[in-house]
Amino acid sequence: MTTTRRGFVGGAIGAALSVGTAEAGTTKHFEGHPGRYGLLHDTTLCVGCRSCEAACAEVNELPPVDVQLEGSQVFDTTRRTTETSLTVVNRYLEASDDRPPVYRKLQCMHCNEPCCATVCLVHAFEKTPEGPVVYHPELCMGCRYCVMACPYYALAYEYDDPLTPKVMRCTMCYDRIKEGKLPGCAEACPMGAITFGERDELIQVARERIRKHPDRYINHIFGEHEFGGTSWMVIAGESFGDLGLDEGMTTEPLPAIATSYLGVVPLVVTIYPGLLMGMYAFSQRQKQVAKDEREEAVAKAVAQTEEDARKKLTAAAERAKKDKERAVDAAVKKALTEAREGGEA
Amino acid sequence: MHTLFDFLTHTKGIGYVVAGLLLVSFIPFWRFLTEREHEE
Amino acid sequence: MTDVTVDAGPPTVTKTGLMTPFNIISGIILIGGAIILGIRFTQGLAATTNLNNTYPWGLWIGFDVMSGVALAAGGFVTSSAVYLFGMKEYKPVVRAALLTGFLGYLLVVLGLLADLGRPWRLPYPFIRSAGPTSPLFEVSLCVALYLTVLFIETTPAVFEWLGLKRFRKFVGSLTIALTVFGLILSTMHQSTLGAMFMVAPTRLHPLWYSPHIPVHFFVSAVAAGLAMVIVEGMFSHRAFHHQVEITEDQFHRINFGLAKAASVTLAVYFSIKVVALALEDEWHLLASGWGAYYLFEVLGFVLLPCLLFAAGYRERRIGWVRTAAVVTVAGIMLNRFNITFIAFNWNNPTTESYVPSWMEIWVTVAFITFAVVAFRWIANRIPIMYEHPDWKGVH
Repeated sequence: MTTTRRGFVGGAIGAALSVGTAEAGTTKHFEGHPGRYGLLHDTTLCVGCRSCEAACAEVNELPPVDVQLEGSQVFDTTRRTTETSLTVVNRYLEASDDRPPVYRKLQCMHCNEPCCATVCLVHAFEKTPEGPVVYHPELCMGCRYCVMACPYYALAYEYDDPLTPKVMRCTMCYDRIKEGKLPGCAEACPMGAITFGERDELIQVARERIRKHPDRYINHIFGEHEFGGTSWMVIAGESFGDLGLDEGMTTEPLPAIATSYLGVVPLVVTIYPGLLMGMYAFSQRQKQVAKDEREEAVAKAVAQTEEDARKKLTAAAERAKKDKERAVDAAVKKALTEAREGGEA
Repeated sequence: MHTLFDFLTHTKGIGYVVAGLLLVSFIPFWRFLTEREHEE
Repeated sequence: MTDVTVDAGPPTVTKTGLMTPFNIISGIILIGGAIILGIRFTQGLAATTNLNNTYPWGLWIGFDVMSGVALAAGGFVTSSAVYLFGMKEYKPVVRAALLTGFLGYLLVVLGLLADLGRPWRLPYPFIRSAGPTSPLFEVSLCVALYLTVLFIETTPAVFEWLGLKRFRKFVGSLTIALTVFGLILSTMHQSTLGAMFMVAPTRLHPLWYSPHIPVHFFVSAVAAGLAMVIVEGMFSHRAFHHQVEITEDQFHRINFGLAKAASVTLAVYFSIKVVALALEDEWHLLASGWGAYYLFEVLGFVLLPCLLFAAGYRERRIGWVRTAAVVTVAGIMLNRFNITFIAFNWNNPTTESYVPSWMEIWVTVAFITFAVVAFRWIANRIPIMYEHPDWKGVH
């Protein structure tokens, strides 16, 4: 799926934003902290010098990046961020006749509505008022749900560390920003491909650039609305799909998508007891009815048997009586006959 | 409450507590409802 | 450990050797597992697993957590059937199913303790800092509570064995409440395990991803539970034949009843999978390579056992029922693996890939062995496979 240079995606997305939170079970709309910072990455200005990578390693006290030593072979594979490289620059398109190679810098996007924060069960991530999403390693259990969830594949984990492993990601140089300094990468970039400022202003800057140079840019600011918007936004001259940014991303904030099902939890907890006890009472009642019917049937059968027995007994008594009467009659007759014969003799 | 994430943290947190209390209170309710059934 | 021989009913202990083949093999497996876990905790996950930054979840999550929970579902299914819906004919298998459930969930927790970066922080969500927006928060709360419920539900048998009549009576009186609570908890965490994947619509292949994935997980868990009761019965009925008091015929009838229920459940599961395709208009995806693999899973491991269970029930063929049960169990595992690390990252832009390491596999097998050994040890001592003479016919 590609967008041509004159393709248009922005306006439609903006309109869709207002229904973005419906999935979370609320119709409320959230603008985020006013005046928060962001960064604009202009890939048409990036030449792949990787000064940003070197500066990032220095600022964060990570293994230094030797740009000279690695040369341009480093661009032969598509790299991702790691626990020691919080940002990487990839060459997504080789040089062609009418344009130089296209590079893009990847790192944590510091989303407006971070899904890493949403999925963290110990609330180890926070979206600060200044803009950066910060991580609290003193709370982290190491479940790596955040690493799994990030749609930008931005998070890494210290699998080598047995006892104090941490999630590693771009911090947007939160401490430096609070001191009024620029993030390391923004300060180091010699081409102006990274601009730091208030997010709202950066959007204006980006729009202005696109307006002034319609042949140079695709008419879309990636990160303005994707998944609810990001602090790190990208403008480019080639389709974002070609630069490893999935154009299929919805504007629905990920927290809304991720938590939509959790609304069912209180429902299950409050409906099941009544429902299940109802079923239990029903099954008990069925058993009781079955039991009563059984007892009734047994009682009937017993009564019937007794009735039959009584009838048999009465009939037998009758017969016995008749037999006795017959026997008595026979005896009387015999006696009379004998008496008569005795009299005649 | 600037972000959806803050809102959800707040509402879901309350939600768990409320659901738990309602669940537990079902037990005395059921007992109240059915105790006279055993008085035969 | 002593092996016990019994007449039907309570076992009397006689001593046979410790070095039976079963004991030796399971001992090797368990000791090996312990060594690997020792490496994991002294040298990190990288030394023992193939997990990486693109695949943070692998076999230990895919099997120990995802599959383990689904396969332990027999506990809530049978106890609800017997105690809530009055199906007393399944009483002979309830205790075994509950014990399997308890050991299954214990495995889940052990697997988690091996996989977490800092497992000693497991109680943190409840005692230090809660993240209530996380589906995993809900899962861990429910699993912790349900493990407690299952534990209490196995104590009646223990008290019978110990002759503690008052404790036994008290715990028996809790049965209904515990069963209701267990069904609530099971509904929630079985489905929420599926909901965990809703956060990654771009990383999980659309054929497996669905807004209804929680429902898919719950229904398949019921099927998995029923199938596991049959599978577990296959082994325990033979291993503990001397304890079992029901007739072979009665045992088969129970299995046929379970087969009927499993067939219906799988039919429902299959139907909602078809509905999911319609919902997202995904029919065309079936024509791809991933589509073929998806059909392999759904037709081979959902539709096929569904029909086999039905045929086995109709024709009264216990062999077909048992085959269907094994296929169902395998299918649930395949589904959970697909969702966790096979169809997950299907369009992975990095060069990283994942295949479980032999150490991950060994540890998983060791956990299963532990559960089997524990089941055997417990069933040889307490009334699981038979009714205690003092409590015959009671709850």
